[in-house]
Amino acid sequence: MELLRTENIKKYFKIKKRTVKALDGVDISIYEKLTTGLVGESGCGKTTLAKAILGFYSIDSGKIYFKGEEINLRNKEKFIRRNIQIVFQNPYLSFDPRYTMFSTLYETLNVWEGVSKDKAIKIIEERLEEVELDKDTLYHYPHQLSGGQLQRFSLLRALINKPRLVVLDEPTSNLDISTTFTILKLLNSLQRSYSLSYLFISHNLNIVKKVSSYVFVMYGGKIVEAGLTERVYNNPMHPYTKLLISAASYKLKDVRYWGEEVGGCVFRNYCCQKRKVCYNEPSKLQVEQGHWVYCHLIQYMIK
Amino acid sequence: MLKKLLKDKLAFLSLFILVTLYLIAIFADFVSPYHYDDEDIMYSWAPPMRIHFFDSSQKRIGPYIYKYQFEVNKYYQRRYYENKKEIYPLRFFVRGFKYKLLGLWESNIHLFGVEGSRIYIFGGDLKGRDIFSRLVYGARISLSIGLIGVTISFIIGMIVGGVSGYFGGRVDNILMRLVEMMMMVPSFYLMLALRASFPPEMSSTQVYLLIVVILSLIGWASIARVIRGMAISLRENEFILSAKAIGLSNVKIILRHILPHTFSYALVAIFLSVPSYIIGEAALSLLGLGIQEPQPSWGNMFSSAQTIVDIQLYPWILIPGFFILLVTICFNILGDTLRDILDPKRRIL
Amino acid sequence: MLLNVNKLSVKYRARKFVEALKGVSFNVEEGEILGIVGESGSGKSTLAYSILNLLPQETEIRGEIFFEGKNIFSLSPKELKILRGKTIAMIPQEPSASFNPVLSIGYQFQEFLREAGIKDKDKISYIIKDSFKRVMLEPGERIINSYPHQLSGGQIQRVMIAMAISVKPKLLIADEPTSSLDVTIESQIVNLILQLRKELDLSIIFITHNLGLIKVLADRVVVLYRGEVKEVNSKDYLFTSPKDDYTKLLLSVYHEMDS
Repeated sequence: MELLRTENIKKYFKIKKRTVKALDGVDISIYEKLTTGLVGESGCGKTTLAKAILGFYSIDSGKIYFKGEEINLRNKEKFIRRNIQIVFQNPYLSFDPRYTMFSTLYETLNVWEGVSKDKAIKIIEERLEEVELDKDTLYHYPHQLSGGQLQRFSLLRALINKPRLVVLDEPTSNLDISTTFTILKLLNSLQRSYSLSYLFISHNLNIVKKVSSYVFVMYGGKIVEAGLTERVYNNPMHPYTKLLISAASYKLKDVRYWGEEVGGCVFRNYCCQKRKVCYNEPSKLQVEQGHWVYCHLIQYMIK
Repeated sequence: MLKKLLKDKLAFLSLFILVTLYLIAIFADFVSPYHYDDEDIMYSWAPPMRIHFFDSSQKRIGPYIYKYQFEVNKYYQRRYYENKKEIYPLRFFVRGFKYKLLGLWESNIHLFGVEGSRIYIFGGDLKGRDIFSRLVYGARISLSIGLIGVTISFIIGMIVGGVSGYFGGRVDNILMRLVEMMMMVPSFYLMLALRASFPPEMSSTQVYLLIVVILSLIGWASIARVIRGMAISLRENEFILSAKAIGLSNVKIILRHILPHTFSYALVAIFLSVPSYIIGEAALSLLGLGIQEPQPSWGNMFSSAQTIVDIQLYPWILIPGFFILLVTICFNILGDTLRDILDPKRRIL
Repeated sequence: MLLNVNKLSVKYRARKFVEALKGVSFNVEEGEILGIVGESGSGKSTLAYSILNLLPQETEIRGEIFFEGKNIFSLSPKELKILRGKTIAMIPQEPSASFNPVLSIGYQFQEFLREAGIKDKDKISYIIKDSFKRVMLEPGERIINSYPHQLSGGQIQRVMIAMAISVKPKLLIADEPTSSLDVTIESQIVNLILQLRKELDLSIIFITHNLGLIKVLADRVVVLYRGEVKEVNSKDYLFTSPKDDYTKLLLSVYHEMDS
């Protein structure tokens, strides 16, 4: 079942008279009770997409549907805040350094309905166990806690008002490997017990491969390849996806740049197989069941 | 923070001086031997009195003063001299005029004074009023104008700056143009223009309130600009976005998560800008637009030192100016030291 | 043996004493890449700074570091300058933070070479062009005349590496040089380092928390945990038969995540 769907989202930023196409017609789908991965490098627009879904930015055009119903900031801000939450990359910056973890969580609990302090303590202490945190960490300030502990608190804050979808924006890239591993396990168990959906944003292919059932590969503000994670990884079709996969095992040695030309396929300037057709906008093509790619070359390859 | 502040000798001294001055201002009735309006024409332009400890026979009799008498010279000016026969010992906790301490307890005990004569340790003014007593009463106005003015400007400045920076866009545009308009006019002329739009004859309380309002209206703009800058850099921070994501209202985000982070800047700026309010009042009073006689303020007392002749003949009328300078320096030292403690790399302040 | 770290202990004097390194000993042989693996708080950056004798004044240092037989803690200031500028080069984690944003890349490169004792103008420009070619940057005027913010993260890191190798150092210390870069660029930088090592016969200390990188790069590995050396082993043995429990834990996580 589809939980959230974006339709042709565009968001342009104007920086010194130049227009930067942060999102240029992005369609993604997030499925219920599953993890959807979004892979891309810095500047590809993945964080912009996350912020657009959460309504931190107004989008220039396009629509976002939540269970088939259109949501936007004007009519559904409350709905978005209740149902969609976010966990950020840097746990150290995700908490106001002036408040203890308890005050931050208490504030979160109090947003929708008034909860007395005693009751809040009870609720929070119960849920601390779920994220495997000690009770005494509750009265610490953010700088007294480790990255892993803070990221668990981030998760707790996101989940405490019981949302349906959690956007995880590089939740582990500031953590050590062993902490990353435990956080990923925790995410998995929380997903099952609360039937949550995740949008897992990362530049790390190995992690996305590990956690997600669907994956979207993003480049230059566009989706270049999408589908079931296994199929995309085992049979990458887009030259950019292939490049990413080879880079993940440090096999990529050099990328050639072919000069700045605008229009057409976004990856064209780096693509070693480009042809004349690449000057046209590629359309969505189905490679196999549950695997799509936005590339002209695919026609030649399939033949 | 306070510990570090007190470790710095200069800052400690400044803080000590300021605290003493504010205490004196609060207990002005008790500290001053006379009411600010208490005239005695026999002491017109009397120079500061010397306090003696030993009499001519070198027998110690404690602090005392001689009575002042004067003769008129050929220019019809009074020449004061000490009448060595009339000795008045300096007494502490003497009875004087009645007042209400802190507006609550009626009393007539004063810190010091002499019985049977008058004591002018900082000299007298034209009307023969005690400059020391007037200075002590004047401190109430001059020192409080700084604090109240700064508080009002900071409240306005922080709210405008916080809102402007946090919301951005059109709100920011409108508010910042307003700020620029305020900052465009040189503040002294703005002050005069604002003062000119009110009638010159007003009761002293009205004038006092008016001056506070005028000074705060000038001060908030620059504060708003800095707070706005800080709010903009905070706005994109993850913890603000997280607060937004959980559905916290904009008002709460500004009050709980944005403005508290500007407090350390505000504290330094408060210390650094208090003097400008004191000087602002002095400047208005110097032009006769500030606090009106007989109510004393350091500014209008200092305004009697406008001609070189007066300064030459009665140099003690410069004493209020010295106190304005002292307070200004103390606040600046405290502000600078605080800045070094809070922001050693000088990134923001 | 190029570098010998012998029972090095470093204590920082913050509010309490923080013991960053506790009796660390290892060697670096000529021409090898030594990987140092550790998570945050393991003291791996402290180690890098102590090899360059760049620790802050208030730290308490015990033990010795011998570079080509000389103890670096007893060098004269002049010798130290040569050590830092010419014999040992370092590539930091945040390349963009290492450049002055208001000066052009070329100017900073020239300055660096002048400091290293090369005064001749033609020689300087030859060295710059040569080292740019080695790191596969275009040697033309475009990059030389640009300012740090005009370059991408990958380009800046290449410039940094070009600077590091330009003075022909004997030892290169790379402190997480790729952790702020994207995967595609990371892969290119890693391959560049491998290639340079072959061409220039460099010894490299590669500090990282990423076992994947170690697997591709290192010859031998030092495992650091909370300031202590847990294991020193050749790479192949480390991945196949680790000795220490902490190494085993790291490896199990690594295999879990990578497969």
